[in-house]
Amino acid sequence: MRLPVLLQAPADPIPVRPIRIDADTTPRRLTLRVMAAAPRQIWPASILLVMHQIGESLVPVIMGFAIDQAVATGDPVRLALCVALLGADFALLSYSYRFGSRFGLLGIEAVQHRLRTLVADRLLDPKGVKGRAGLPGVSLSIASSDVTNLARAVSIVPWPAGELAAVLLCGTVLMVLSWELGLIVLLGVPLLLFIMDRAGGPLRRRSHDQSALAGEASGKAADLLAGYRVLSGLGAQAAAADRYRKASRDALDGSLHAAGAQGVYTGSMNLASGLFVAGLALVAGLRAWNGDLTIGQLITVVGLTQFIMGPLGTLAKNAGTVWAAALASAERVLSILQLPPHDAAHGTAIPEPGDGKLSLAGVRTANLDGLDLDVAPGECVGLRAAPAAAADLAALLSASAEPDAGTVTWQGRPFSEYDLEALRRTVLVVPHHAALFDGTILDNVGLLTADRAAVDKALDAADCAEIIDAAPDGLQTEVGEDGLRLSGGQRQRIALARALAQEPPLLVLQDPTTAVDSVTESRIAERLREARGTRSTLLITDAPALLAVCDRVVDLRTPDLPEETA
Amino acid sequence: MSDDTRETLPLATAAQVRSEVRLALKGGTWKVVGVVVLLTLGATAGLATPWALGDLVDVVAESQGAERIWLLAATIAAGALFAALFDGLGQVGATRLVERVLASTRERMVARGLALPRAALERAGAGDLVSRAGDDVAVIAESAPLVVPAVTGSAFTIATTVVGIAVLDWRFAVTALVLVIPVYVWTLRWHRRNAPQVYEAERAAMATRAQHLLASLRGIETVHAFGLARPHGKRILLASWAVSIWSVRARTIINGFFARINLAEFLGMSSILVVGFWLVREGQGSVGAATTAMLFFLRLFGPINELMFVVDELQSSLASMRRIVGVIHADEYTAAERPQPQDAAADASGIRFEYVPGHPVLDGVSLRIGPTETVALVGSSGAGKSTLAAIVAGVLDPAAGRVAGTAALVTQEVHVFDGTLRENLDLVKPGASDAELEAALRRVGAESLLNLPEGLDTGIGDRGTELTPAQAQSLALARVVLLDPPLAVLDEATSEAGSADSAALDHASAAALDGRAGLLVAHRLDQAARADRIVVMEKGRIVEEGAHDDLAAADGPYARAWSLWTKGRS
Repeated sequence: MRLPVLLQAPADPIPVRPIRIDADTTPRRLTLRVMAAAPRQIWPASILLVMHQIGESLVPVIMGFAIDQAVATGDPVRLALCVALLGADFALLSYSYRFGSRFGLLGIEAVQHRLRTLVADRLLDPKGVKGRAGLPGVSLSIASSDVTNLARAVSIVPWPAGELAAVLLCGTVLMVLSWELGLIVLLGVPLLLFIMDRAGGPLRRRSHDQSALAGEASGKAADLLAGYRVLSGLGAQAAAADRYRKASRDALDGSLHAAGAQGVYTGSMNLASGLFVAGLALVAGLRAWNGDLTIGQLITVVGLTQFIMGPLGTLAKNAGTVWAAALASAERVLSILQLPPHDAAHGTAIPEPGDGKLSLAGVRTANLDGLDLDVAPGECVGLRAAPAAAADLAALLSASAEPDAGTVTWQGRPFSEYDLEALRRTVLVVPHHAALFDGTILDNVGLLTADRAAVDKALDAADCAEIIDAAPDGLQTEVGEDGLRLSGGQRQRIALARALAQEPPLLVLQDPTTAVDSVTESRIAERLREARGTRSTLLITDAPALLAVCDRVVDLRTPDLPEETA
Repeated sequence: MSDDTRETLPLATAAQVRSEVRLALKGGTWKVVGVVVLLTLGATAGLATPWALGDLVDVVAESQGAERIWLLAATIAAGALFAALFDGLGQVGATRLVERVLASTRERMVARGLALPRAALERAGAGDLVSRAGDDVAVIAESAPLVVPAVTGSAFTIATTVVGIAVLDWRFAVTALVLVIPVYVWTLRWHRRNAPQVYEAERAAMATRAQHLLASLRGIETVHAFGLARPHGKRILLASWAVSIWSVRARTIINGFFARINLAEFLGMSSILVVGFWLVREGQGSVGAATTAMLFFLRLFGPINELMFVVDELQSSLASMRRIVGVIHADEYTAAERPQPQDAAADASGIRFEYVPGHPVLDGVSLRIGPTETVALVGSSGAGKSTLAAIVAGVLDPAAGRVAGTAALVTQEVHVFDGTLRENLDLVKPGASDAELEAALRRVGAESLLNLPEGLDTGIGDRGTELTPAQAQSLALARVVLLDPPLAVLDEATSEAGSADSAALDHASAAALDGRAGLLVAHRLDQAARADRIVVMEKGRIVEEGAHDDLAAADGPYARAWSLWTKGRS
């Protein structure tokens, strides 16, 4: 395919000005900052689009001139000159638009990418969020559609700049021909813009409601599709589709209301600009009738008047709609960017490489009652705990929560003094529901950082040999989205191998073998100790096979709880 | 396995899209007619302005009365009023029609997407489906309100204006049309050749972006634990910029398209000058006629642009529509109806299944489950237990072999839907009474769920009260009780909770299977031991079968696993 190559998006994102966001940034301010974020694209775009509109408004002027000077006089040389002049004008308006529009889009894309970077960074931020994050589907919709809508605010300057230039040029030309006409345009236009802004109010509100409902519907779809396995297992797809239909109907109602508002808005805009043209025509006609304007001048006035409706209409319509949509989306984008991080404090200390001692002293949380626990270097400690206590402990050890009382230290320093990511590289707390990601088995276990020897050792320890043997492409087999091409037991073993391959100084595992059979479990238990070597391990589990290989077992369960196994 | 391991759901043909739209509009024909009439009236009223402006030149040139000027101004105002009224109403009507079509299409798509056989959805990835339900729906929702009025309104404006030019002097119209039409045709052809693949690539890039984002959001705990924020962020942003690159290419096409339209405009304008010049010189026309022709032609720019631009939007919407309707028409994925077995809850024989051709996960497996029999499937992970369970449950279809009967399936993947406790339960039995719901929860020992602050109306799931894994699994079992199927397949349905809650959950699964046939995939052997019959699998085959006592006494794989299991537990 042959494509023009000028002004294409480069292979790497275009840098933009930093877009500052803090706790008190309002949607309006964010939208304004977005508009100002890409001056290197927006200036050329604005200048080129102004040139384009000037070219457009010169068409009726040149035509009027040509009719007056060439058609009326019958001079072929003048005709040729006029056609050449017209050609030059078309070349101007065409090329300036071509490149102006592209500069503008590059600005939008650059800003959009920057915003998406901010949103993705916030969503993935190791500091997490306080409380609970929203539905993945809602976050997805904010990171895709809302970021796109907000970034479109970049176009609010260049396009209207061109349209405004056209209106001003027409006003000036008219002013030269007749000061009354010029005055009508120069006073009438701001008045029209004001009316358009007023009329746009309901539209902005409706547009806001509509995008919230649309987000809700798409969140619903994502949630239902995420539970697809559950639904298909119970034959409940039809009921789920009904649920979605309900959300979709709500979104539809929102759209229908918004359509009504849009119709009223567009209608009143057209009416206002139509009345404006009628007024101009009246004054121009009367002036010409009085002999203050020549026929040639009247033709120019009439041509310009007809032309001016175009930029006038789009001026308020487009800028207003884009602004309204951007504002609504800015609010939703801010709902992510202003999410507070969880409360745990962090410092900048980096743990010493190698061994360390984990020490919990008098730790109290909602579900832990004065826990004292030490894990010495090289030790493998088993821990039996109620699910709620285990969850609290995991939150403490992954430094995403702080104890109500007591201390948690590594190498003698409180967790809160360490750099979060450095600490997590040292103390790896594997979530019980460990997710696999799209990619090969090797990608998932090695995470592109672990060396191959460590990967092989970890795969062996987690008893993954038969998974890899059975997989069509061995280590290079794709695991599919969320690892769904593997069975639950296979996923759990691959996830365990991934944790082992990182070789952290302290590894905290939570029920790592719940989905595997007893033969495999005992094989894993045997190999786990060797795989960890001289590094420390904390195993939160009830599985006897795993507890059997620990140096010691700490039992946190309240004694009055009934024993669950015979 | 082929190099490209990601299949995507199919794209619909243009004919399928058309029939889908027709289906959605069924019964609304008069509404479509009404909208067309309104928009046509709007376009007619809009013509009052140029007609009156042209007349104004005549009035002044011929020195008619000033009251004519007032009348013409009033005509323009009245025209604007009617144009605004009819056009506004027409636009509202068109948007509402289109929104309804869209809503019905997206609902049918999600319903069809949810009904897709599991194998199909897992191969294509849920992200593809979510992106079709989100991005593609948005693309159409945005372009449709522009497309419909443009087509009806502009077409009429163009037609009447061309007639107007011809009435003025046929030579204006003929010369302009002969010069201009070939350029427009050439432009449209050029566009049709270049645009679709760019739009499709842009949409595909959006789907990839959605897929990466969703994966990272769903696995956020893992992302944080392993310090994957940076690589995952990078992956998302690479996909994001890829969309931008395609968007700029798409814009480049639009620019090329408009440059060609500008050429047509220039040719048309020049032809009017030259023809006007010639007519005036030959004494066959007047300067006024040339002026009106110029005004008329100038007025054509907008509608023609709009119509041509719509072609562009239309291509882009069609790309999205094909992706949406493609899901609805994913016929090749339809699961076959299954016969009911005789005197049994399920009857499978000679089952063969492979996720990847040449790598069978099940080979020659036969299993029959009596009407109230509980069968436990045991074996190492990857032996094919879950696949067999899914086949018996009817969510997967075997590559070879016969299966009769279907069942409810509960796997270790519990998903708590975003909504109330009630909504989470009555998915399987819409309209179930409070008493039924509460009874189902009690039966599986999930009283703790009934004690939630607002009872059945407590919000749970991603935005509500967080359930413990054990609660989530009892919820899953309560759904089975409520559904009351003849056969329930529990695929390690109680494993994810960890061993701490296992006693309660074992009790719950026994209660869920009470009075019906059950197939239990179990790795906790004490659970298997209580089943009527145990089936041991290895590498896709059944290697041992019998009652617990017999198997435990024999010297087979089950006996070895049993002795490992009991070690340290008794």
